[in-house]
Amino acid sequence: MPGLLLDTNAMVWFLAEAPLEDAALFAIARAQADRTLFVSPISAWEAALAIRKTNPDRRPNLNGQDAARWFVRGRRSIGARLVTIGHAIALEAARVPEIYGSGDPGDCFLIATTRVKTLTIVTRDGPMAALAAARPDYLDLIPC
Amino acid sequence: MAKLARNGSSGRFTIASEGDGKRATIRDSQSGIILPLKGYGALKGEYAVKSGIDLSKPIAAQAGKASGADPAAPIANGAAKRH
Repeated sequence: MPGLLLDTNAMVWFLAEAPLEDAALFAIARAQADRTLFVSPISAWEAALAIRKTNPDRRPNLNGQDAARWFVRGRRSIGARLVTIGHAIALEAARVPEIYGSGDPGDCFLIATTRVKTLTIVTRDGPMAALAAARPDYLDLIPC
Repeated sequence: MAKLARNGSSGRFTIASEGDGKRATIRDSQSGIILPLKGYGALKGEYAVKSGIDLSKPIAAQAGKASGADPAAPIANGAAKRH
């Protein structure tokens, strides 16, 4: 396994010490030790979108921090490497909806990243888990 | 060290933490390997996710509904829809 890519939900919950599947935690620890743990700039984008929610009861509490600071501090804390999104990932992301059935841009870019970089995604995303179950040749996934 | 023993579905893994999450380790009872969980809980309390955010669903779509934008609009012809 060349490496792990944390989905945004996995990154948020890991940093918050939320309960995660033990097998996922061990895989993350192993990837950290091997320096093969990755996060995507898409997660910064998704975090920035999440805090745009207008209802304060329905958006993450950053204690005054913005998404950029959270992402930079979080990535550094977990020792993850940043995936570079180049044209190969962008082009693959455009093909993902044909297989995935959803055009959610965040999901498409994360799935495309796993395919181009040969990574396993760690996520609790239901549709992604369904895709990985139906097409294990297409998406390698560790549920968290 | 205050230990927090967690029972996974197989009881295979044990997590030990000093409480701040920054020195957590995880042990695989089958292999005996112990690994540090670097950064586990490092931003605990700083990024509290409230009930309104369902992180198991597309975040862009949820934020789009709240802001009036629709960043998760269907993709047509292999290209993201522009707004």
